[in-house]
Amino acid sequence: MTEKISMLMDGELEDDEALTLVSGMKAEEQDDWLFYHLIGDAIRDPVGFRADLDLDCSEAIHAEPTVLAPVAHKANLQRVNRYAWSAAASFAAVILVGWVALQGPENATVPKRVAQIAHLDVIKSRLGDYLLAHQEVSPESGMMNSNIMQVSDTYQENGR
Amino acid sequence: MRVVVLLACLLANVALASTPIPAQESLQLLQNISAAARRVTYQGTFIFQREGRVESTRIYHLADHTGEYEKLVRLDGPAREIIFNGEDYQFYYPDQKSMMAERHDVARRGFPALLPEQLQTLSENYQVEDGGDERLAGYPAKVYRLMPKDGFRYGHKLWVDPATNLLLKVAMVGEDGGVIEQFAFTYVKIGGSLDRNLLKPSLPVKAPLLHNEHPRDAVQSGWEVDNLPSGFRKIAEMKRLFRGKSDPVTHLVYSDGIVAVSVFIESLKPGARPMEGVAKQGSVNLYARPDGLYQVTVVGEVPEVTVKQIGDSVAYKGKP
Repeated sequence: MTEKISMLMDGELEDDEALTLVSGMKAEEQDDWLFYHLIGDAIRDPVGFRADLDLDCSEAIHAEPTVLAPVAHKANLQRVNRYAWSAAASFAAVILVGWVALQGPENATVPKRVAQIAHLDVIKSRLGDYLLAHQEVSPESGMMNSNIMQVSDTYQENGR
Repeated sequence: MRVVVLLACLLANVALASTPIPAQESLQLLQNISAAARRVTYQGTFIFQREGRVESTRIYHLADHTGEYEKLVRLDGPAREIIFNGEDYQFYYPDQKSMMAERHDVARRGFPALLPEQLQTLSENYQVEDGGDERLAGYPAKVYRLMPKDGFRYGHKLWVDPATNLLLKVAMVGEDGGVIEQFAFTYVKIGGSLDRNLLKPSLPVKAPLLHNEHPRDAVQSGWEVDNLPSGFRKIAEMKRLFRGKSDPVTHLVYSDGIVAVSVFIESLKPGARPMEGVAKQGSVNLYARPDGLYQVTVVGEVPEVTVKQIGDSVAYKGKP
């Protein structure tokens, strides 16, 4: 099982296989998996990204049909725990899906700030892998090796 | 009185004026700085500053005949330790409910880690200047400026310990002369001995290491950048797998001798809406746009104009 979870973490499982695996997890294993995932997200989180990206919210919903429950606050891990085990979604994307399910992606009455935060979360979750891959090849990112530390920065610090 | 002030300004300008360094000499200089970060033993605390954020990190770096070892300890916010054991990086999270560690295949490079083929292009794109002397972290540092020759790249300012060539501070500078982000030692002890115990994780790790790998293969993808900004050359081309994506992503890497720009190309899933727009974090700009059935994403430590020009001229030139 641990090996499968590890494969899941490394993206070696197809989405449907991953979903089957995750659905079959015991509570303890789900906790472990969530924990691994949180760490992965924390490492990838490009903290402080300012963005003007037309992002695909609807794709996140389609990808995660089982994740439709609203999540009130990112810091509330207990609550997130129940929803955060979707295979393709990162932690941040789950929050967004919850939020979108409540508000609807086109809802113009959503306060702008809230929209921006959710927007940023999705951007971060989707851009993190690009940034990490770029860091591997970028001399600049390697300066004193500290940008690695920057990438490993946490999701907790960005506007919440 | 006015004359005196004017004269003072004039004199100050003269004192601040930088002396250009010949290309060959500047290449050697940057190579020495790059090598020193690996070959010198040092320990200290440095800060990283970007967009109003300041973070402190402690570093222990040991270089001896057996190799190179390093431990980074984040001092602010959630605890993080990164250990380089000569082969790979291990991430530790001492504040979590259970101890975790992850292995990462992050390329090992000191700053500014210049690949040999990149060095040749350096002098086409930057003028290296002697910026005089400044005291830094208790050391009398030599200052060097890498002045960009056009608007496609940022400038750099380096503070270097003349005795060992260890980099004491580095800043990226925008077109307006403002600092975009910087690293600087606030305290550093260069040379001497370093207790190997300092290089171990501060707490024992029970969990197995998770190997977080990005598989990649060198390829000729057929994708090209038609309108490459001056001074940039392709230094790598590969296919890699991203977590959660079943199809490999094409990754092209371009460099001007100092910085790199990554171009990612992947096929869009039917019905998926592509990403489109720009994002920015300190020196890093990202530009995304759809190209027919493909998503193009460009990332680099370069101004927005550079990622846009590259992203807008990505085209498939391979076999149809």
